[in-house]
Amino acid sequence: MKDTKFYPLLAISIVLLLASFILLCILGYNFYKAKEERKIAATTFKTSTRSASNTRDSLQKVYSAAIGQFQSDHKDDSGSTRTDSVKYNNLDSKLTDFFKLRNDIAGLLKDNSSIEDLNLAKQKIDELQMKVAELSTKNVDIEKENKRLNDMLAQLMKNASPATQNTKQVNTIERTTTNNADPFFTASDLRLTANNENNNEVSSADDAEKFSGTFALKNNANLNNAEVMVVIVQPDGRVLKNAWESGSFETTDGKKVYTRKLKFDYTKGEIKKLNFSLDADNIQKGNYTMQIYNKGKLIGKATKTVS
Amino acid sequence: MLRKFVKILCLSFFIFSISSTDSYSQTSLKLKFKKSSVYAGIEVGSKGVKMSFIEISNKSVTNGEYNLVKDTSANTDFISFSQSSFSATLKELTNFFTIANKKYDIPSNKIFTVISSGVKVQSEKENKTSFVKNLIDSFKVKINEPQRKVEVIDVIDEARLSHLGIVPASKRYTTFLVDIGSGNTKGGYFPNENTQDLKLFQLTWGTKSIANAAEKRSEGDLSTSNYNKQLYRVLAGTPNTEITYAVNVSGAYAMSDNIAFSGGIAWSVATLLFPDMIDNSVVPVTYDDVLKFSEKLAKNAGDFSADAIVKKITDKTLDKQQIGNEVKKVNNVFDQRSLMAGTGLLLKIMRQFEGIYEKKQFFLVKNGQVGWISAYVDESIIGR
Repeated sequence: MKDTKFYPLLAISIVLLLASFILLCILGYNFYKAKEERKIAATTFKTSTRSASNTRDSLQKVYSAAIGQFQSDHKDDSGSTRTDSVKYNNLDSKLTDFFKLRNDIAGLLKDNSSIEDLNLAKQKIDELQMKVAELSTKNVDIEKENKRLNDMLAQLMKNASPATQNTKQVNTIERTTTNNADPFFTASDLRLTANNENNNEVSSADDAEKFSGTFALKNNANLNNAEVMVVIVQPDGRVLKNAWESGSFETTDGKKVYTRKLKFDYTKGEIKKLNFSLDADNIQKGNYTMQIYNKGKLIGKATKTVS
Repeated sequence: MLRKFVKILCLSFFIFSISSTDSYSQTSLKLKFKKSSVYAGIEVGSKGVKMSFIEISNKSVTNGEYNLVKDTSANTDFISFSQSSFSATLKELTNFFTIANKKYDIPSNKIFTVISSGVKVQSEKENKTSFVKNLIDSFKVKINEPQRKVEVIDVIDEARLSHLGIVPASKRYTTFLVDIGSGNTKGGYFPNENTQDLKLFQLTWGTKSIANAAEKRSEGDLSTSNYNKQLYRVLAGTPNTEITYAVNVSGAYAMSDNIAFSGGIAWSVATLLFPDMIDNSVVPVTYDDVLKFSEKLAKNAGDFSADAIVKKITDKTLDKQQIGNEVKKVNNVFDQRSLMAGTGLLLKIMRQFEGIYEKKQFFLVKNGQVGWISAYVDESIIGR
């Protein structure tokens, strides 16, 4: 009876031994695989850290170069003259943008910054470089404008009266103010005509209902809101006046009444043709004189005889 | 034969005398323009009846020129609404109409009669509108013109007519007109390019009320320097708040290029500051001009006496006597303190429009009080 149970028991033992061996093999394989994965991850991390560090270093170099360029461009600006408030307002806003960008980039380039931070820093540095280029261009423009104004000032000082020359001790801002005292216009092609109601030119006082005047002006500066005064002196010596149009102004010969004030914008070198029409009651017989004043100085004169 | 000759002679004399009387009537008004018409405006106001003759240039549509030829007034104190004030007002109203029509030959259709807004407001407040109606009806009977138009105008209408009459068409929609009166200030502008729609501007302060408030604070120290100090304080108080609010609410800063001031103080400042522009009914002025005038006025009012002003005139073409008379008239109407008060109020309003970047053009209008007649001419006769 004993001999019949031996063989099945032996078979079961062998099976159990084989299963144990297989399980041990699987365990060993898994342990080996996990170790390998840890090794790969460590290697990858090492590689990416080295690359980020390299990126940061290169970005830092570009950033420093941009800042350096800006500083060298603006080293001399402390002595520059505030010539144009609009330009300076633009410049101020650009500078504000610049400093904001600089601070953002400095924050992004810290040691613990991520790849995303570095990408953002790269974009911002591109932007910073553009701002620096714009500021450099502006700086060149301002230097040119400054030179032009200084040349103009020198020219004015050369032409000025001794009284003006005594006021040489002026600070920079005052000098700018003097620069704004633009040169006088020169007037040419002055013409005054008497017209009837249909705007046809007439020579008789009885037919005349209005006056028309034309003249051309020239200057060597760009001017916004330039103005000239038109004075029409009647044959009896009185200035022709119009309600809502006439007023008084200071001239080199004292206070004077003007017939009409003309305002306009002027571009340097342009021959500006101006004209006006003036309704007049009681047009007298005799000579009507049209005088053109710019900044209180007589710059042109024309006469029309009405018979 | 002799009888026939005498008849012709008598007839000629008769025709000559009639025509000479006629031409005397027409030329007795000193006219300024070559082609113009003369109109009369008779206004029943709170204090009494006022008549003005104005000459309107045929070109006034474009240049807004009119010339105050003559004016006269009679104090009848109509707003006391008593029987005696009623009779006196009716008598003067009829009398003025007859003078204009008969003595100065102004045809009836060129004589305008109105009841001012001051009377309207007071009569409504005191339930005396029947007084006003009776006055109008009695006047129509007296002059035998039952169809005559006697309009009772309200505050907005008065401001609207003044604007239309004073400001030329070319500046109509860009000008804010401010009338500084003795007890209040009113005005406005046309925001929608429509002359029926005036944006009204009102202040409860005028030249006299400011002067009174400063005077009241000066009790105990009657010196001019103290008055000036108290005036500054008065202006910096409620008037300043009211002006700032009223200007902001009106929206006039954004909508106007020109700010024109009328009223007694505008006439005074224009006359004293620009005597060389005596013939001009409107003069342009800057904030700085008025500020300097105000400072000089407080320090040395003698600089603005007729003698002092005439002495400084060097232009030989100017009529010194005419200037002297006009300056005397100003000094009779306003003393130094009233001028200081009015100028202070004027400056406070101007300040609201004196921007750093955008400068408005200021004008002082003389004789603005008769501007409404010019508007009546446009609306009633020409039909604009």
